[in-house]
Amino acid sequence: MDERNGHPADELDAVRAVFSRPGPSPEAVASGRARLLAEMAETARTGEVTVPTPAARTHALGPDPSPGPDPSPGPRSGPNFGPNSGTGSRPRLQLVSGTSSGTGSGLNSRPGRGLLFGVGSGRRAVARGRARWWGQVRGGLAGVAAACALALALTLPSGSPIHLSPGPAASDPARPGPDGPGRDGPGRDGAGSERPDARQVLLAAATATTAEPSAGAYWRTRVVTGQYLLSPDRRYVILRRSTRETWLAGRDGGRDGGRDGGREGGRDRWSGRYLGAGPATPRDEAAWRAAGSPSAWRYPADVAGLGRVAPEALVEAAPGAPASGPHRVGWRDADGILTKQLTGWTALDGLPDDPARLRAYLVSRIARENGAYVGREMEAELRETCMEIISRLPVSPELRAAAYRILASLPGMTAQGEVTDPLGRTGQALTYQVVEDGRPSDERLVIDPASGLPLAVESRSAARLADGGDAQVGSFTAYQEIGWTDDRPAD
Amino acid sequence: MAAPPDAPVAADDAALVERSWHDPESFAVLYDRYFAEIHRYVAGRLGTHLADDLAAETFLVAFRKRRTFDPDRGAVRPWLYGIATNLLADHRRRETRGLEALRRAPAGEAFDGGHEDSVATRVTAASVQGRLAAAIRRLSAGDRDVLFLVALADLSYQEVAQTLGIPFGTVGSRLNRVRRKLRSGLGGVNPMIGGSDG
Repeated sequence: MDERNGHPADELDAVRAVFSRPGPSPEAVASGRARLLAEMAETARTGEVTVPTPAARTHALGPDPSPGPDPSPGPRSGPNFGPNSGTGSRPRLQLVSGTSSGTGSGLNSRPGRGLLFGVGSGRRAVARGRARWWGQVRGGLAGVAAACALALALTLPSGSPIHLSPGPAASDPARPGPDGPGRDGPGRDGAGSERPDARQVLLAAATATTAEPSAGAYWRTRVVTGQYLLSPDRRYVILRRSTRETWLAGRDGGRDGGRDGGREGGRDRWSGRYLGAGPATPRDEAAWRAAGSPSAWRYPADVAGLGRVAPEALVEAAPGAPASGPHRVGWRDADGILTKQLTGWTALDGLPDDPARLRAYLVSRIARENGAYVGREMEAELRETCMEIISRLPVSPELRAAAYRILASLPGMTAQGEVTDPLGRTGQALTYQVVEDGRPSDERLVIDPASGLPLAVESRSAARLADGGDAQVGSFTAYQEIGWTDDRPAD
Repeated sequence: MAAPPDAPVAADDAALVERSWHDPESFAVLYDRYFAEIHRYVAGRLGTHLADDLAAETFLVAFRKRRTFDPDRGAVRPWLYGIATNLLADHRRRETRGLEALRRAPAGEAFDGGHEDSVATRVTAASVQGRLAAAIRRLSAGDRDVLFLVALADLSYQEVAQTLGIPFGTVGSRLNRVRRKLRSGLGGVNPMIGGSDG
């Protein structure tokens, strides 16, 4: 470093001379600024909160020694999360579908497509600090959610039962013999097959997903995101929902065309709408009426324990106007996030769709990008990465199948049988624990066995009402469309 | 190079980040303050076209991660450069291809229009650009980051250390190594004076 103050920096001057560029054009400045402002508006509109990392938790500015507001209720709530809280022993999954019959014709020919494509919020669509228990979901939460008149072309699928056949898993070449030792063999097609294990569900999804289209003019995704929040006065639970659709222009000629100049990013579009907010269940509605039927809720600066809501956010009951615009995930080639890094089509194309090779690649990429994880931590990272591939990235059916097969090889997922997702659709549920920042939390993945596509990822945690009663806050991402299509965006 | 960090501005920056937690639009001030220089840094490495997107993306990422900004670990400016450098990392192959093109290009071809440097500087620089590009192309990713953060972004060693999350001393040793390699790649020619043999 002595050279800094010594003789002239010849080499560095040469680098400057060769590599200096004029500043950005006014158009580039304006365009970048517009993107930032759009992001801000989106943040304000949806109340999306960038969940603090550990760094933020130590963050203290100026004279105020208190840590920044932490929107995620966590295990700091302590005993509330344990089985001794009095809620843990309730029957699990009272997600009784009340929406199931007679709507078959309204089904998007493929239920459960959708994809969350935001860069920052996408990866951890579900906030941290989840409770361990799914059991105490208050009476028919999901059913009421589905019934909420927040409809914006929310095409609900048929509730007709979808039977998961273990057959495909049994014939899966990568994992012969889906049943563990001592289990009954596959092939039961009656009531006995209602509760396949997690590995069977995942392997069946891997097989089913390979029937999905592998090319199209656009990669289309449509999601409904929702948050269960405590009202600011902690008297009832509010459900707030938004929808967002994204169209990424595919390359001509499908996935195998070479490309150097980048695809036509300018044709990417998004559209979305704030669907509104309201009391989540009839019980909540009663409490909401008792509170004077407010049509908006102003949250305090400290939103700890209230759910995934921004400090001082104003949550409005009324739906917003539809919005749309050009979609810019990142720059030209970025189409999503893999192992917490932006990634593009070219990189995704290069991923091996052999499960063993994919796993080796992902492990090395995780280690390179995110640090050297070992054992269970690496398994958790690997699971998260496979979830990215399955639900959020424009990949081939074969690659998605490989990700499912990796998931099937990982410990820690538990099958819950058939459940109803936040949009009232039935699917096979798997629960698993997520550890972030050293805090365990539970999440639930719901898979459509017919398409092998994810229907929803949900997360819940316990919260305490003002009267001491138990409630649940949490969030979900429900996928309505996910995959290649030759349809075109509306505008 | 390496202007000393402007403490009052830095404090102001950090306050803006924190204010943007609750008042997102405060973040636009940081955009106005730093977009141009982030753009220049990225454009130097990847070209103006890609820089339009990537510099904008830097601020989107920063905005989304604004709660993770820790003023105890450094100022806002190196934080932004760190984000930009991370985004650049996914384009290393493109950067390498660009350096390869620069190495082969006839003098001057690789310059964007509107370059403000004097003709003389451009000519002499162009005459060595091939050698320089070849030498930079052979640098490790980490060494390349240090080089461009010092040469293009004018960051101090301390700021480079913050940007890359590496020890202060490592910055100096990396830069010394880089300069040695560049000098050797240039064949001992003083690039701003000689270069006829470039």
